[in-house]
Parts: sequence; structure tokens; C-alpha cells
Amino acid sequence: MSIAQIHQSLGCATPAFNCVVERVKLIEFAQALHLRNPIYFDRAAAIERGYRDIIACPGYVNSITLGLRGAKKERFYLAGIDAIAGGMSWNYHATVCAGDELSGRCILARITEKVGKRPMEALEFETTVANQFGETVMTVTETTIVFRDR
Amino acid sequence: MTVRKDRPPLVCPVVTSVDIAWVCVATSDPNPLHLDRDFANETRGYKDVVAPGTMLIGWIGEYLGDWAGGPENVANWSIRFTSPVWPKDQITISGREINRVDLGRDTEISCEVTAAKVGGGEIVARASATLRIPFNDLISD
Repeated sequence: MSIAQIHQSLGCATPAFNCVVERVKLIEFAQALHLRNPIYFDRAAAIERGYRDIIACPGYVNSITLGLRGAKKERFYLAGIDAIAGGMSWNYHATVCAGDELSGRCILARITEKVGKRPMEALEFETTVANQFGETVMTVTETTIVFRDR
Repeated sequence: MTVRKDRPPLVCPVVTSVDIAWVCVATSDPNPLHLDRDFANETRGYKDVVAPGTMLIGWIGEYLGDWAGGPENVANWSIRFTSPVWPKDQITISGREINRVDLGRDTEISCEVTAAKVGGGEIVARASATLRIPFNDLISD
């Protein structure tokens, strides 16, 4: 695989992904982290606070997009490329609850040259996640640094 | 609701390999760097399994959500990991307000959050966030 192939996939997207947010997984996540706020693990407490069900903690919502790693490597020719993570940012637009059906896809949005000890480029991926109501719940921007000298 | 300029630190529980495995199960993350000490040592030279970033994201996410009066008031945030977290580490999350803008119906608060190891203070992640608090919910101190 080569940097040229990556450039050719600028603007392209992974196949769409779909998933259902399972209540038991949200509870497992909250328990593993020993979260204290009951809206993350107690349905009655979450409903009392005005939510539809247990809330997905931001860390859990973000993990949903990690399932795209394999598809990204394949679609954007990243397998075997010398690359490192360059950062992530999230914009939240709606609350995610247990039982929500999420769907989304990842686009290679930008490629910029970076200055450093080694010649490198920053690949900026944008992932948009929507719920069953058609609302965008989250957009994720992830930067991957690829080195051009290998 | 009061949104304080400097929120009290959150001392997270000591990281254990069991909790790491549990997080991996919950998030369907099979990365052996988080689960297999021998693999982590032989492939990366790590002394132990490394905690997944989702643990820090989860703790910082809860911290920001509580600060904002609910996760729905966290408009956006970003994180940069600066150092690995190992089993037996304990993390403290602390944050401070950087700027506050009155938008009429809402108040937008920019803040910085730091996650650091207890004992030594090594910073493991830095985050910046924007909290958007409905005006009627806000009583500033």
C-alpha cells in the first residue's frame, strides 16, 4: 500500500455501520469504571432525571466508533502503513440511551502535510453517528499521522 | 445549579487488570495490549497490560457531565493522551474554567481538564471542553 492510494481515497467513506446500544453493556461499562452518577447504570434514576433510559457515558459512545477500525484500515489502505494516533475530538448533539439504534460511517475528510523530523501527513477522519430518530448524536474527528519515508 | 470555576478533583478508583478486562468486554475491544501481559511485553516492551483510553474518556466524561449538570450539556470536547495508564495506577481528574460567554438562552463555558497519576503527578491525558448550560439552570458562584 502507498501514500498515493490513501490520497486517492480522499472524500471516500467506509461502509455504514449499525448497532443497538445494549443496556447491559452500559451497566458493565459503568461498573468497570466505578462511575458514581446513577444515570449511567440505574434505569429508574435516569428516568426520574427525565431521560428515556440509562444514559450512555461519553466513553462508551466513543467506543462504538472504534468498531470502524478494521473498515477504515481496509477502505483507506492503512494496513501495513507506519502510522500513529494524532488525537480525537467529539461533538455531541443528542443524548444516547440504552435501546437506541445507531448508525454511521467514516469519511477521510482532509489530508494535510505536517512538518517534523520525518516527512509525514495528517489524515483527518470524520465519523457521523445518527440515532433511530434521524438525529445526529455525535460527530468524531480523528487524526492519524502517516509517515512518508517508509 | 451552580457551575463553579474550579470543580473539585475526582479521585478515580485504582486501576486493576480485572476492571480493564471488564471495560474491554463492555466495549467489545479485543486488543491484546489491554488483556495479555505477555503480548504487551513481547510486542511493545510494556511492563504490563495498558489501560484502554476509553477508561480515561469515561472518567473525564462523567466528570464533565457532572460539572455541566448532565451529559446533555457537554457540547464538545477533545482529549490528548500523553502517557500510558497501568494496573495499580490511580488517576485524579481535575478541571478549571477558562472562559464563560453569555449566549442569551445559554451560557457557554470553556474548560480544561487534566488527568494525572496520584503520587508523582504524571499527566496521562489533557482534555478541553465546551459546556453549554441553559441560562435558567445556571447560578454562578
